[in-house]
Amino acid sequence: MSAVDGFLTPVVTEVLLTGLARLRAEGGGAHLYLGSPWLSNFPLFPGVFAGSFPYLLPDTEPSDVAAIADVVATWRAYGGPVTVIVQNYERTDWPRKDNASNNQDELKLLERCLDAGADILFGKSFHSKFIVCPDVVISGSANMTYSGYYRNVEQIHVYRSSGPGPDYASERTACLNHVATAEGHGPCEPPSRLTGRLLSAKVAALKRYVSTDSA
Amino acid sequence: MPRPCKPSQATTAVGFLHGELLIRGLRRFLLRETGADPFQTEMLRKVILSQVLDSGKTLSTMDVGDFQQAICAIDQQRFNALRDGLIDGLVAGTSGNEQVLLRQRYADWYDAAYRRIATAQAASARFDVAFLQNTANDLAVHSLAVLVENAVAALVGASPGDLSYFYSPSKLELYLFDTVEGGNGYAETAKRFLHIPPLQRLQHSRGRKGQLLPDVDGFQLLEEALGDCPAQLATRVVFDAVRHGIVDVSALSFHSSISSDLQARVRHEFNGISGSAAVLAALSATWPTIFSTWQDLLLIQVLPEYFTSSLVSAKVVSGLEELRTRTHLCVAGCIECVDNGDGSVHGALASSEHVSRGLIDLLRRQVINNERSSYVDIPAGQSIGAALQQGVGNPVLDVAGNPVTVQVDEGGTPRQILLTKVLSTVSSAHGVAPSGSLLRPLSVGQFEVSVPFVAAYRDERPLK
Repeated sequence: MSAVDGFLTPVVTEVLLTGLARLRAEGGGAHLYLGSPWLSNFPLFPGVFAGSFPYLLPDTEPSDVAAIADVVATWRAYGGPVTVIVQNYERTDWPRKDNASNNQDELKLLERCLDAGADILFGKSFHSKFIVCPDVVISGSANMTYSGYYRNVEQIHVYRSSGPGPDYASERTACLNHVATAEGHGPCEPPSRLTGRLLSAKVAALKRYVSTDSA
Repeated sequence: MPRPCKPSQATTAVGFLHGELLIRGLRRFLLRETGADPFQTEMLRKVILSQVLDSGKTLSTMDVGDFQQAICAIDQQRFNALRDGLIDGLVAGTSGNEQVLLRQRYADWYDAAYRRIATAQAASARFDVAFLQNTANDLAVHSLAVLVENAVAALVGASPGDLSYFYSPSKLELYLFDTVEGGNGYAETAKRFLHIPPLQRLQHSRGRKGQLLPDVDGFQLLEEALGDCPAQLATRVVFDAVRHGIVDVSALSFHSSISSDLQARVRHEFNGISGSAAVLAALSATWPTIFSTWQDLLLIQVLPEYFTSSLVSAKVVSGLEELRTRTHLCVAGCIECVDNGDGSVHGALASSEHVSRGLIDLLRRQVINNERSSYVDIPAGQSIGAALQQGVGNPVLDVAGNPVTVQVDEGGTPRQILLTKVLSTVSSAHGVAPSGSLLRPLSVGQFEVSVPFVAAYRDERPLK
């Protein structure tokens, strides 16, 4: 396990791009899990793709991996499943997501991920932050937002399957427990139930709920 | 402890790189000592090299003493025999009156150069290890200058001719400059963006100023330029395949880490009309001692006449020109890697004589060995992505092995930041491990091509 306190975005970028390179080369439907109470379409760290990945991802354009929504779409295009879990918009649940503008932006991003074929889940009282892909888990304090990765003073930990002891396995299990818990909520049925799996048919209802929230 | 690896190694230890330096050095020696023009120099070098090969030496075993002996052993009778052998190669495939006329013309040219042999014999003692060391320095510094110029041109977006260079092998220095009178800002821009430490890039990003920096800096581009030549990698794979008796490319499969570009290059070389595979197979079968490794193919490029008549008799090629065309491979450097052609300060015709891919690989090996913590080796056949994943997020360590923290200023507030290694480039690593086979047997007559890779990390500690 390694700790990172300043170089969050380079590390997250490397994890996502190396995961993509593996998925492309090895196939096998590697699953990507993204968990964060708040999510925005943060850009990946410039330079990492330019330096190595045109070679490792020769049929991938920089615009295909420019921001997290692009990575999700590209991951799906390479045949890997993607699950995204965020905190729900329930006004009484904590952490409360009470910035209407951010919520609307986030929902647009989630809709884009849903259209790309990702599985979207809303957790209850969900406050964990993680990225899980085969052999690597990242978790820590940083939300998957521009502020979380670029502006705030945060800390993340990188767990590798090659590391000693059960660190990687236990961290991966803890993260996926959040996913399983959210899946256990069943389908998201706005406005009566805002947790669980978001289906395309319910996006409009959720948008109405979020816009009502802002009104 | 990694073994230090310097150009001087190539001049003192026999091996293919040593042989390459001898061949390059011989040209300089003849130009400098005999007063021959470049055309005559080329002919004299072919004669002397033929004598060395006739003595049973190969690229990997030849030494300075062999060349001194060869120069001194050439009297008129021996010269005529060597000359005639080379002319046989020049005229192979021609017939009748055309051949008679060509023979006479070539003989006249060679005979006009013969008188230079006596001068070379008088000076032969000066063709020594020290001379070879100077040759190695010149080739190494010039080759690096070419790659630095390429990297900087890519960094600033310069067109061919916008930048140029000069170098001093004795001082081990190289210089880049704008070619436009008064300058056009390229050199200044290169200086500004030659080195962008990851921490600086991070601070720009945090301040939403990421667009002010280019996506890559000069160091990253130079690292890429120093990386393997894809054409040379293809040469090695094809030669390997030929040595394994492969005559049809369908006997080869490619590991998933092998780029489609390399696959296409290898497939092209197995084309029966334009590819090199059949020629390499004939060379290897007819002269198994001379052509035992892919590096030995340098001989077919500097001395094709020596081998042409046999290949024409065996109906492998129709003549010298076809042999040249079909063996237009990257062995010691090509226009795709280190040979800068008409951009060379030595002129387009001699550009290949002044660069060495092998010396660049030697330099690359030295850098990797000296900066071991900045590189991750990925053995052939292993997943690149998996290896890179395991390198993610590792901290920069000091000499005692402790993570390094630096203090930065964030809008007037000091902040402590743990330095983390950032992935820079990934390249195949055949050049830093030039021996051994890249083919792995799968079943009888079937092989998989897989190459090793090396990942470079920005592992930058603050300078004291």
